[in-house]
Amino acid sequence: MVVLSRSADQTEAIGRALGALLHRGAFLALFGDLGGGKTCFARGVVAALAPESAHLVASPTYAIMNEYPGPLTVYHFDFFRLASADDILELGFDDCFHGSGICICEWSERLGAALPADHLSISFAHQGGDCRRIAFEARGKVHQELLARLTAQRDRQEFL
Amino acid sequence: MLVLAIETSCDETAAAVVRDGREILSSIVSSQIAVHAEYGGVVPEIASRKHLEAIVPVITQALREAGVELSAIEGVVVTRGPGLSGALLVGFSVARALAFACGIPIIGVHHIEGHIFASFLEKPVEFPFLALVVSGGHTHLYQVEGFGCYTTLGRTIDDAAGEAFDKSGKIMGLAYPAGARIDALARGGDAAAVHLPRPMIHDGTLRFSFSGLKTALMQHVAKHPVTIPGQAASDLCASFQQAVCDVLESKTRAALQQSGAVRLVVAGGVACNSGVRSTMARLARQQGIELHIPSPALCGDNAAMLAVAGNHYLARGLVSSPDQDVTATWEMDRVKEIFRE
Repeated sequence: MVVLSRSADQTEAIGRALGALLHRGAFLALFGDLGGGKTCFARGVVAALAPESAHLVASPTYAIMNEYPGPLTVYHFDFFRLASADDILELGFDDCFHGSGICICEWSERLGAALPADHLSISFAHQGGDCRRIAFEARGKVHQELLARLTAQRDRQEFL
Repeated sequence: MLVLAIETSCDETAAAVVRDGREILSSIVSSQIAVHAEYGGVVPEIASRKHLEAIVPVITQALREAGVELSAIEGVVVTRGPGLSGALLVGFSVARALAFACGIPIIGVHHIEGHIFASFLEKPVEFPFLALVVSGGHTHLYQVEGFGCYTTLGRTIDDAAGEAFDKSGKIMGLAYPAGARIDALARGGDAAAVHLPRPMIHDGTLRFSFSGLKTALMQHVAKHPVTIPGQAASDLCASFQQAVCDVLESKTRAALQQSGAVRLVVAGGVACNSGVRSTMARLARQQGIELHIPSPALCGDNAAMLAVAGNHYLARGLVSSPDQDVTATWEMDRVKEIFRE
């Protein structure tokens, strides 16, 4: 499924729509270049999932992981500064990957073999100016059902 | 009182010996010394293993340079959070073991609390004051009423200022982290040469956003590639740095007006930036307020800065209980809760 976002606000709104559909164990693998809108999208997801923590959302590039408390704990990763999957495994993050919260991973390109088999991949591409092409692809039954629900919402024009 | 301070919350493994929360007898930061040459040239990074390799040599060197025996230390101050649990645990566990072995207290402090009080190592500041913390991971404004009493007034909603510097540098082809290099290149540039946005500067809030600035710079570089060194690169660096400084100035001015503060403390790694320093100096002059920015050596992550608050808490018996643990997520506004633990 592909959507076109025309602004940072729209990217955040798409994140909110997805966030409202998430269940425990969801893994959002975010891909795409600098300035693609990944943190903005994550802010939308957290706003829907854990509104009390929405003010805490910021880029985790430096911290590597931000944790947002809520009904479901959201683990917001950013692997920009890490070289390889080895670093990620050494930091013990794979425990969170298969835990009871929600994972949002920026720079999933770096995950390599550490990327969980079941996940929703979300790729951001610049389309000039503020426009971004956001492509969704699901792996595994749970995430495929999740994507089907999001697609249905898109078709009913419930967001954007 | 003589304290040993230990910091492992981020990339640096650091230790310091400080007397009375004021006099630095030694301050060792792993990336700045040859310690890793002894350990296979490993530059300490985020991995906890690297903190683990560096922690004992760094503490040993801190004690040696201070000319102090471990038995003379009266308390161990350590960063309790926020940060990666694995990294924090290295410093916290060593601190706990040392404190237990020596029969002295351990005092867990907040990493940002450390940065805010770094200035006090050079000149104590009267409370209350406004603090602007700018680093790789933070761009925050705090109202500081006293040790342990902090209120967050504003924060970034995406990239931190230091992150914007580092990522913009990467876009221009500079090695990561790039903050110091951009500052140097900017000195020969025209800050008005390239028009870049000042995100959220007039939104009426104390929130920051630097992600759009980085994206605008990326779009500019895509159309007008830069060679480094070169005039175009210097102009771009100067224009970028000016955009960051304008936002920091505008939000800090608004926070000063909102809080009525007459003293401003600027802290964190980005406080080394010459543009930020001169911008804040001008703002302070215009507003007729006191400005405190630590010397560059105390702006980046170090352990000595932890000893200011640590010494204060220790002197009042506000020490950590034996069952206390590290806290990966810890808002500054909740630091006061340690007094109730």
